[in-house]
Amino acid sequence: MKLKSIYKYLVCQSGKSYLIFFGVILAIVHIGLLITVSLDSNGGIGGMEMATLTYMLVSGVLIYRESLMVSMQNGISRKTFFIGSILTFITISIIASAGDVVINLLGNTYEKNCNMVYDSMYEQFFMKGIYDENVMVTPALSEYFKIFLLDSVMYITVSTIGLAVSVIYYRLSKAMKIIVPIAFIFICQILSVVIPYIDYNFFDSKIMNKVIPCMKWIVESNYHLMAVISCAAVLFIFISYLFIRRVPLNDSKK
Amino acid sequence: MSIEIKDVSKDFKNVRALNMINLTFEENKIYGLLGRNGAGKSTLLKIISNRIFSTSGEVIVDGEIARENDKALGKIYLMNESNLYPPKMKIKNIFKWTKEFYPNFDTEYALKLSRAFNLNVNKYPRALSTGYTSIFKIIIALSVNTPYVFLDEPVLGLDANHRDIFYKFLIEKYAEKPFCCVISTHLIEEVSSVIEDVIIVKNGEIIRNQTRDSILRTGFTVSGSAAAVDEFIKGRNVIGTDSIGGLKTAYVIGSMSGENIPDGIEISAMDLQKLFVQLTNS
Amino acid sequence: MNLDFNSEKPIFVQIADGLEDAILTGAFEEGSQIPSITEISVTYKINPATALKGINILTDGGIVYKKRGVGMFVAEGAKEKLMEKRRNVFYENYVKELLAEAKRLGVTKKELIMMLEKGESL
Repeated sequence: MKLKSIYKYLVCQSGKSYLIFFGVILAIVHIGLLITVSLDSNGGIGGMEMATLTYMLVSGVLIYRESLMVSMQNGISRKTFFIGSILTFITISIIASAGDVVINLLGNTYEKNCNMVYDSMYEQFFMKGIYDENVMVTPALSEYFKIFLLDSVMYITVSTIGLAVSVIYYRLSKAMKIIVPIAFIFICQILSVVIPYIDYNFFDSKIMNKVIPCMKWIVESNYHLMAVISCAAVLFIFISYLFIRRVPLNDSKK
Repeated sequence: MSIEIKDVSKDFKNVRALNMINLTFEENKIYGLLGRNGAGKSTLLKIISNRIFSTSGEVIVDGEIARENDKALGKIYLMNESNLYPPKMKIKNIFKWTKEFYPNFDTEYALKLSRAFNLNVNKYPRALSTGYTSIFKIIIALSVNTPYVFLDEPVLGLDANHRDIFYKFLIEKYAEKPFCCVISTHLIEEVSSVIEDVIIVKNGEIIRNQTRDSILRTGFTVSGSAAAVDEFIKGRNVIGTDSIGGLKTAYVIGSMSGENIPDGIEISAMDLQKLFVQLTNS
Repeated sequence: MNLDFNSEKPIFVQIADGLEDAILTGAFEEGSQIPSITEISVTYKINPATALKGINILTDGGIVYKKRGVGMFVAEGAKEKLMEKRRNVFYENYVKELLAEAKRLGVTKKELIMMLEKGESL
């Protein structure tokens, strides 16, 4: 069945590059350990999930172009390719999360036994305050499951963002390819700087007073975060599908 | 069992690349899809294989609409100038994955052809010359064993020896296990004896769709001294002439049945390439 | 056997004629195998349907027959049949025309026979 084939292909391709990535991260953790131990200082590393997050985003973007072409050559409809991609994101995200758990376990083990502070993003977010940088926090084993879930959902979402970006970008004309990123940065600036400023000065922070509690609620618990991120994932999946449905294979030569 | 093209049209911006194309490709036949550069042949093939969408009209494969339909698309294979394979994959692995997508892919046969063409399957497709890129793609197309195979300029860049090998393998395969093969090419004379049906595309429309034998019978070639030929062709439908010195060749539409051949004149079959050039000159 | 793709004669007829010639000259003996459709079409780079058409002429005329799973073979008495066929063609294409021309020129039967003997002695 075609779906199975394209899924197999995508997982193999994505999996291979993930393994390389995983190896690199492992190496980094150990290098951090080496440095801390040899310098006998209070070193620390953390937030390795950021790296995985970035990797998943980039993966989502790269997978699209190359694999869509392979699908086209082998008689696979865009719909099947799309479904296969989503399934692949889920699969690889779960694997990556498991990988994260391994890294975190490793890091926290070193934390306990050597003088190195190791924090996963989860610990930084949910278990520590902003000023507790050099405090050693070690999650209980049950926490790891929460980490696993959160990470999985995060990576899936980020992959779909990558896909959506790639899909939309592919359909833009040359001019739009330059305008849209600039407009995007522009809009981000407006949202994060201009609006709060205007709000503070003219609206007596009314808008911000509504927005900030929302944001607080989201990061209150990892389950809230997961819920919001899942919604975002669904949104991006929907957007991606809309664009993939009608994409023509434009490139002739490669 | 056939592929039906029904009222297919394709517009690009404000250019109509294909206009109300109606065609049928029957199973187990070799077709020649001929047309000048830009006539619309490649566009048509891309629409059939779901790489681009028609503006209107449908492609129906064995009774099912082909658009975004995995089952229908599994019966089609298109080989064209695009190289859609991943850059970091060796040819032998591409064979492996092709078999995954097309279960009837004959890996043994593909390797046999690779040896015959001297293609190193441990190479990456990007590292191949133009000719060998075509060879690599041809090998896959000949090994994939789908009921319908479309070859868009298969022998691009191939030297004469390799072209010879290609035609031989194609015919051998077809003789042993017939399939529907559509060859789109500019090398008309080469392909003339291999194809059964001729479809000529001009400016996005089909201007001829008939068997090769019948299209060749639409006319004949007259050659001889300029004077004798001129005399002979008086009042006939001549679509073109060639002259060298005092010798002349004329291409005539019509038949010679029952007529006596005057002295000094030689009659031979209509040349498909010449007929094609005449038909497609605007 | 050489195929002339430019000749007025269709390819499949050329194939049939070529095979017949080979049988008549004894290149293919009665009871021996003739090349398969695949072999012929690959060697001359022609569509197998064309080769098949040519061979069918011979099959229909009882010149060759098919042994299932093995191939095509020259039938017993094929040479005779071909001779007979060619004789008829000779009569239709040459002899009748000769007689018609002779009549036009007023050549009598006796003169005709003398001409034949003259020609034979050359």
